[in-house]
Amino acid sequence: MRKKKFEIKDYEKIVYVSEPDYSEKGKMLAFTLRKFQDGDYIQEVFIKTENGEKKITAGGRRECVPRFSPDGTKFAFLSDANGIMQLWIGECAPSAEKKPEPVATLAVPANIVCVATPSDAQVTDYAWSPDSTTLLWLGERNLTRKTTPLAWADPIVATGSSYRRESDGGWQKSRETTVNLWNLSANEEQILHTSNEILKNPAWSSDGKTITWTESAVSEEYDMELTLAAGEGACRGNEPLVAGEGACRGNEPLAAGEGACRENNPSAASKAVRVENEPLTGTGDLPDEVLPFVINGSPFPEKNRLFCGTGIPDTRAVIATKAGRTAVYLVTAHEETQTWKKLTDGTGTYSALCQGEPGFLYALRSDWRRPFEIVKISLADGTVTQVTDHNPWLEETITGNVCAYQIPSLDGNVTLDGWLMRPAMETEPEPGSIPAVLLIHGGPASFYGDAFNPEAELLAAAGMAVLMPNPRGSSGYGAAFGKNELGYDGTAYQDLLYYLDNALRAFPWIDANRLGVAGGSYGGYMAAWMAGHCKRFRAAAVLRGLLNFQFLVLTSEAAGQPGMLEEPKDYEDFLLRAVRESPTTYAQDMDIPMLIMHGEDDVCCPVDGAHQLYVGVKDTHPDLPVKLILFPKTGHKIRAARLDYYERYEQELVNWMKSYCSDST
Amino acid sequence: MEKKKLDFENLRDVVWISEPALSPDGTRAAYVKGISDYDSGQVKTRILEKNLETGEVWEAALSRMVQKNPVYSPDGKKLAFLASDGRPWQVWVKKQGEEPVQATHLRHGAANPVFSPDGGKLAFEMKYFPWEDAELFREMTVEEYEAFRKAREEEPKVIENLIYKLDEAYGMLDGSRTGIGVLTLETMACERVTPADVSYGVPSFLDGGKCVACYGYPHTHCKEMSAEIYRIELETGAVRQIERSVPSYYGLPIQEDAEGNFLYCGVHMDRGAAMPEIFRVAPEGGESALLFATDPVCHGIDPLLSGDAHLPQKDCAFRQDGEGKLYFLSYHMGRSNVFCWDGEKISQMTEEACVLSFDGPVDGKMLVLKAEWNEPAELYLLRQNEAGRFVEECRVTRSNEWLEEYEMFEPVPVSVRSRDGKAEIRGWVMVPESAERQGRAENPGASEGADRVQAPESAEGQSQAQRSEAAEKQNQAGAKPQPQSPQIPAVLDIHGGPESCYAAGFFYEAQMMASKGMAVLFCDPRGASGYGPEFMQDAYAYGQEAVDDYLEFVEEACRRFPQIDRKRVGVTGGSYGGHMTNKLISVTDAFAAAVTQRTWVNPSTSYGTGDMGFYSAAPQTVSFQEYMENRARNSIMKYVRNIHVPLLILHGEKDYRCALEQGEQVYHALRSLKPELPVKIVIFPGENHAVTRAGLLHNQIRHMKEMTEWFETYLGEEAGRNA
Repeated sequence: MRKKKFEIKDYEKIVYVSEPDYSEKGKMLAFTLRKFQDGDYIQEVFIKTENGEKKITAGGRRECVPRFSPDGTKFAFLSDANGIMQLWIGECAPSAEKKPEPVATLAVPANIVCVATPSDAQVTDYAWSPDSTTLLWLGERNLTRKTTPLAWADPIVATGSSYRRESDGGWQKSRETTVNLWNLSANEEQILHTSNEILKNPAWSSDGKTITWTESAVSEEYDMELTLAAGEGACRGNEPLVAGEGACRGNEPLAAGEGACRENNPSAASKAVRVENEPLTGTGDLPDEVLPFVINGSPFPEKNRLFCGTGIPDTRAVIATKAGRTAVYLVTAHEETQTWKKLTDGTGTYSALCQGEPGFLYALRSDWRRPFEIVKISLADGTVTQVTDHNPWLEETITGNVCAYQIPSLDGNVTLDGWLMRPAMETEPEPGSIPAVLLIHGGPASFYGDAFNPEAELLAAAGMAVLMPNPRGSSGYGAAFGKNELGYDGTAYQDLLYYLDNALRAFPWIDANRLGVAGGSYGGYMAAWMAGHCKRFRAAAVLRGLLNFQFLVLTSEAAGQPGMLEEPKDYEDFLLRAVRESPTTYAQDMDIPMLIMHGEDDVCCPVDGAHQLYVGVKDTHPDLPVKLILFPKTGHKIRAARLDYYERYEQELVNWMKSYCSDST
Repeated sequence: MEKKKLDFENLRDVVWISEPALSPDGTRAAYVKGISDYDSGQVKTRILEKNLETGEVWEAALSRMVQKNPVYSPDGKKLAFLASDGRPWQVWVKKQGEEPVQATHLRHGAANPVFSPDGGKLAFEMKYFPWEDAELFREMTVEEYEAFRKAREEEPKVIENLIYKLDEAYGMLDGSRTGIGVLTLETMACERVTPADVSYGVPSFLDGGKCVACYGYPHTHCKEMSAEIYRIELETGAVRQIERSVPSYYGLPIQEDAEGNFLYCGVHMDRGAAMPEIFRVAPEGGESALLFATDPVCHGIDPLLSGDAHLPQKDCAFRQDGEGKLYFLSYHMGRSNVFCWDGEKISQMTEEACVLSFDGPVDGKMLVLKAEWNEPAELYLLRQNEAGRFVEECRVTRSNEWLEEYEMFEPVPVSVRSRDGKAEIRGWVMVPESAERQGRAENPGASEGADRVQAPESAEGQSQAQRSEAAEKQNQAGAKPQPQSPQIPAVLDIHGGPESCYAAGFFYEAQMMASKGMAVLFCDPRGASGYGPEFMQDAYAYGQEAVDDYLEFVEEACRRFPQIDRKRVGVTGGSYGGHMTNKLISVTDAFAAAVTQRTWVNPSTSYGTGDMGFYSAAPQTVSFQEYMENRARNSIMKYVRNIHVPLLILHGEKDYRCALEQGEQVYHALRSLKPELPVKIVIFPGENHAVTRAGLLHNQIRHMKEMTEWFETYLGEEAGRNA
């Protein structure tokens, strides 16, 4: 059967699978599906047994985060059936002796009840107590109440260090957050802690005596010290390793019901060393990085857990990366050290883990061919079996026509790794016949891995090859390779061009005279820098770019947040340096057609940078095709914006590259 | 009787009068009356027409419609205006004695309507979208318009022009164009007479109504806002560009003189200073010539006033009386007045403090919109006396009687020689005490010696009444002044521009600060308009001259009014005024607190984010890179670490003149460098550069309140002690 090309409307067909959770007692696997419907997305909770999959619902439009109680008798999930996200629970088949009930007995409406939560506080995350009697949940109430009457919008007033937040839509929202306990048998609710910061990662210690969470403060220095205690669970950064397996926060464990550690001993709770800044220690298959930034994960917020228990004593499973290849690793803690063992074969990208039947794990796995689906992994030998397939339409669609390509860097110090996606070609193409786009990833701390990439697929479907290297500055290759400065000091620039030139030699069917450059965020910075500094490209697309270091330091959401950026002391020096290091300064040399796209509410890379770049290139080139597209009420993550904006964004990129690169003579 | 104190909320009680139109027979006055609407925060405007003989007032009974822009037909039998119920503005026509009837039904509305000489036709601007395939002469229904508006708001903006932002006028340009439409009233036949190639605007009928003259914008890139004059023959439909050498146009309708030459307003460059003046060009085209030079009698044909609170005015056109005289609005010696060009010389026609607009004269009568320091703009009928001056005959409107119960503070003219002796700096001081309670504090300098420059200015140009008032003050000053110990704080209020000037009009913001016990100082240093081209050099405004002039004025004000505590003087200003506020607190120790409004501090980030300034607009000797580096070198952010006084930053979110990032960077820099210094930022959602003039009322009130309370807090008595 002849497969069809990937097209922009296919994007709407993608079903995103996430948040797997398994109950050994009931032999049931729960997960969330996110899909587009009527221009927006819905979320549905499913339970899968050997009898099939069934949707569990409270009647809401967005339902997610399904989790079984540890004893397998109940499960819980979040639903917006009453207008805001609340916690709902249902009954499962009670015991292991009985054969699991057919799925049809689940979700009888009468069995699903809503845990009483205050009507105006939404539940953001939750965790079952080890004895399955109590739910720990995090609530959030938006305090940004209008102080002026009628339809007037309040002015934004700030006296503190920062007032911007990308995830709040631009201006920081004022919120009240709570840590709550709900005891199901006693039908009792308890508020343990109140805060104004964003709370995440609720967790219980295995003895049920301690609970932890993380708080993200933006106006104070906030780091957490987490110690690797043998037998008690390894922690990493701000995330406890496994729900229910224990993690401590600060040096003072919290006692459930006794109140916040932070109040009792703030200084101890606020000392921290982020484990990701330190080289991983241990023996065995030591990876480069743990819990990597997942390229092309779902655009939706998902509560995936990236590590889990295995049922093997002292051993946890965690997702880690070595040399740009992600795998599931087993980490066994003894005394002061850890032993690492690579479980899966280094293909694919993983983004969630949960313990399965004895000897197995469940995980989300994606590769170039398909987006994330649930797979089952054998702990014995790492064999991977497909469990869900919610994107069968992909069978008829050409995707993942990709090969890896690696070369030593020009200075010989590192291996430059990356990927080349080809357009579908019936026969071997003539030399120099296929145009190509150098697609630069953002970050620079992120990397192209073996994961589904709709943007690249659209370019390939339009007949262009897509080159996706991981220059220095990228994550996934260890701390030395991923040093942030390397992205800006010329190293990444050289790596990218050297990679490109070598790829042109290795793949002579690429037309070196019809090359385009495109990138988002840091990739937008680099695409603009390349447009102003080299002459290899026919067209450029600068997307959501970081275009002026003055805006980054002085007006972005990073401004005023301690520890984020180096604050200038001498402004005279800073301004001049920022001008010299910002791509727009070189607009006079940008003489290729340029497309600039940006969200108007982007406070990560402020939209002002896009205006400047556009004006700079247009001002100095009256006859050059230069186009600026601004998306209203859209922030930095255009993929998470309105569906029609995202589709328009990708279509404009593809059309630009086609017009000025591919179709040019 | 104890008068009440003005409150911020009283701004809503102000009734705003604007856009005077005198009927061609001089018997009626049409105008716009604006009343604040609480819910929406807008000033809702209506058209009124007053019979000057009987006093009867007619008001358009168009419910829920706002109206503006009244214009009489040349025979006076019809009155046209614009009205809107939330949909685009349409032209309505009222025949004398009848109710108004809607004349246009344009899909995207009309602007700048004007009658043909016989009153049978109307010409106007009509907007359209080149990519739209829709019936232009059918008005959208309320539902259609709502859907259209929402779709435009949600549609991603696609920008391919160099000039795509223009604050106040357009905001972000929406891809529309304007054309000129002509409507024949008898048949209601309506057509667009300009081609759909570029934008055209500001039409007028010339040559007995045989042609329509207008501006068009045929140029591209950085010259896109440069206009050319076009002539459209109504009978043939032929459109011709009048070739001329010229300065950019200034937005007023083109007129013709007795010989059929075109008269238009353009920007005149004199010694590097740019001001609007009147030019003449032959109808076939050719060299444009300045009709007359306003300097030194007055300066420019638009006063460019700051400070005075009034509704945005339609630009005041110059008026010809048909007998060879041409009347226009200009500025001289701290006052905005009507002047007249008789073919040989310019004479001042009125002797007011602050004329904002006028119409006429007709039969020796002139309708004038003027403000006083204690009264917002109102309409007066002036009559020409034997000396040729127009003096007040009667009031036409009295809309703000409520203000009489409130205490207001008269600004006292103060002037001082600049430190380098080269210029006279004129301004005012508003002391927060009534004249009686001040006693003799106003002119203590009279007893101190003769070398001080005295206000008021020379007797020439003053009315008898004014001269005797001045003499009275001199008499009082001659007596020994009471000793005054410094008790009160003061605020220096710097105007924007820098090409702008103050007059003693209705300065609400200053009255508020004075009502809280603070003196307000406002002046025109070098760089300001109104004092001639030499005075108006940009180099002075951004150089040491303006800094010195402000400091000298503050010193003089404190000398004259010793009750001002020199250690408790704050500074504020908007736009250029915000720039100067930042500069003054970075390079001097003269001020104890500051409020910077819609400021501009960093040319290297304002490039491309503000709507002005392109590399290609002027011949460049440096590369673009050098140009950008120079912009960074010229930034006053390099002095930001010297700021050591409490600073409040006020800015509109959608300001396209001085983008929000200008105010924000000052905020973040100071939060990081000086964590102990009180610094606050208040950002007004959806507001542009005109937030304090044309913003939503609750934002205007909040803006004033934040500023006043900041000064009350940081110029309080403790500030003086700690200084």
